[in-house]
Amino acid sequence: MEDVCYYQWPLPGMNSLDSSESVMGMVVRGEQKFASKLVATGQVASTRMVVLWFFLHQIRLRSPAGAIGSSVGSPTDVPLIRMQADATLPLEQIRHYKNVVHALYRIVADEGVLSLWKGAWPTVVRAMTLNMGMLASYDQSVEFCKDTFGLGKASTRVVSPPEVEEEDIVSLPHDIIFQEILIRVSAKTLPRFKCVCKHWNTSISNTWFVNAHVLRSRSLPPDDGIIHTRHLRFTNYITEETFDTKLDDIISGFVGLVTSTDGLVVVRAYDEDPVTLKYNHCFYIVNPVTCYQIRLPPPPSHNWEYCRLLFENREYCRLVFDDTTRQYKLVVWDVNDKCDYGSISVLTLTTGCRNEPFWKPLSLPKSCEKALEYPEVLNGKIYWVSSIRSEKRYIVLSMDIASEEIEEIKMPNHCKLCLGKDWMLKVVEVEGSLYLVYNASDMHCYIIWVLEDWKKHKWAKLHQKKYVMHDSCDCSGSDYIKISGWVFDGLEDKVLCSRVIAVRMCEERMGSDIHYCLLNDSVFYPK
Amino acid sequence: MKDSFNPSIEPPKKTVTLVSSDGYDFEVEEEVALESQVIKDGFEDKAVDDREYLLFNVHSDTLELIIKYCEKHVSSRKSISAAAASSSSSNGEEALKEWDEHFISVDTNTLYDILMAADYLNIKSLLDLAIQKVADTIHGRSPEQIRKKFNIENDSIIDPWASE
Repeated sequence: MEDVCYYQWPLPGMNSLDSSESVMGMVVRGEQKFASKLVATGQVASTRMVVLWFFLHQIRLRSPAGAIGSSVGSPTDVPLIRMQADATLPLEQIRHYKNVVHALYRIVADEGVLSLWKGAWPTVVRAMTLNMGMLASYDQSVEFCKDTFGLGKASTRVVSPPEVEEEDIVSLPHDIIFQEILIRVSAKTLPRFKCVCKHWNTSISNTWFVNAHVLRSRSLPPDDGIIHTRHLRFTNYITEETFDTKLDDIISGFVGLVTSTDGLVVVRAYDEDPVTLKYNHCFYIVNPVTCYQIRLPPPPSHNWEYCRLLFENREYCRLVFDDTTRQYKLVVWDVNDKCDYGSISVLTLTTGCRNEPFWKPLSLPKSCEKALEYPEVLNGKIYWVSSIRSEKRYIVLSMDIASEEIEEIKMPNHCKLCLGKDWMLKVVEVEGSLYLVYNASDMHCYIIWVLEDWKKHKWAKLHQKKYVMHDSCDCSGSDYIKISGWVFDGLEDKVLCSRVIAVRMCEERMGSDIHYCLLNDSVFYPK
Repeated sequence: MKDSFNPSIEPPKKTVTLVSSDGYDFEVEEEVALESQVIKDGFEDKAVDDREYLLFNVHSDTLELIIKYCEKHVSSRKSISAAAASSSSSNGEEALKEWDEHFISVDTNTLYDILMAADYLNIKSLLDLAIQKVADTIHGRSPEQIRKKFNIENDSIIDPWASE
């Protein structure tokens, strides 16, 4: 019985196919490389010729392989067929083969060696055509198995049926993984991938990769979230990942948030001196997503009062991103002890730099007081409103983030903006334009200008309305400037009610309509 | 009968032949093939009757999918612009997005094949689609799963978390 089983799976034939095919496979692969080289170097002008040439070579190389294989295999087929057919023959013709060896011996002895190849040519032709198709995928699969399973010669047998089982084992090139795929992975997941392998660890920490990742995430719409004084909560639009953390958990001795941009936050914390047991102020820049933090060197005029100011007044400090050098910069408005005049210092945070960052003091064109309102960032510049007490006037300063040059921007003409008790002057950025909002109670009006000429500092007056008194000014709506305050009736000389004025800035930059209504502290914008 | 009576007769469309790595010919319309920046770049230099491209890195199975993608994008772009011209409201772009999503939902090896082929042929929208898909699938996975997915050997001796 065992013999019969053996017949039905003609292993000898397959073995012979294997050896001939693997030799031929190598030859064919060599030809392929040659063909692609020819195309690449332009030695063959017509691709059609290459195809024809390639096709002829396939016939020339692959069909003999099939021919040899089948012609070696067919002698074993003869006893198989004869033994199967034996029982159907008339009684006098039954050959009574005992097993294959006996059958082979009898055939050779009775009919001669050549009879083993009787009628073999159709099989040879069939094998020739079959081989051409099979070989196309065969040699590739052998290589693949050798590389991934570490099988040597055994791999030839594994892949003989050329379909490879489905498994996630294909490798992608490193360029594609790092330059395309990992750049799209969120910062929350990325640090974990550092332990995939050594190469990934170095590549993820690489300056190029960090910069590329920062640039890409900056180009995306910002996460929808809230940064509260102690609490960060946001949801990524695309991955719908939510992030929720308390800053107290990340930083020991956390006091408060100073400024933030792109999800990086600058915080102030207490630091206990182990010797004197005194508390010191220190500043950290923290990425709450990765929990990575850098302790910043103390600002130049580092004292208690200053730290309190820096923490309580948002207008003194701003973290910005420099598009040209791809670095984050922390710009602080430094004040001296008496807080009567200030200066600006910049701290540059370089990716991949092991040196401790240092503060660079910048000189102001005039002896200004401290900044009055939270600075706006637009077109690579930071804008502040400050004042010069000796000249009793306001001043708008701009700092170029890349070159760190500070210049004064001239105020609108024909307008005397006096320093007064009830004033409010603020620069506001709305949809790529810079507006200057002046809100004076003594004039019972507010005025809005837009900066039309960035080089000559020419302002154009957009809007002037009576009856608003100061309070605060904001642009949290995308195309509105909101001014909250008291509505003042100039004729009757009394305050009517508390209102929020929302000035729409977008419609052809006209500052067209005023929508206002304050009901139970919620703002409505009538359409 | 004049030709004009039968609107279904159109001038024969120009076609380009793409040959896959395993030797299959695919005849596609010119504008479908031009979705590939690589083919577009060398297109003008070639004679009209010799527009045949040998794609040594693209298997016929993958090429078939890629042609399917390009055909869909060319046809839907036409229908979207036609809808825009007639100012009729259509959700063509959304439908196409849905179709893309369905198209790219394949097993990992096919996805990698599509990605590599799109990179080789420089079809930007398809490359973006495939890469985004891969990025989505690795999102939030453990390092061990990543090693498996990208066929990477673990050679880390020290845990980088410990060193920080």
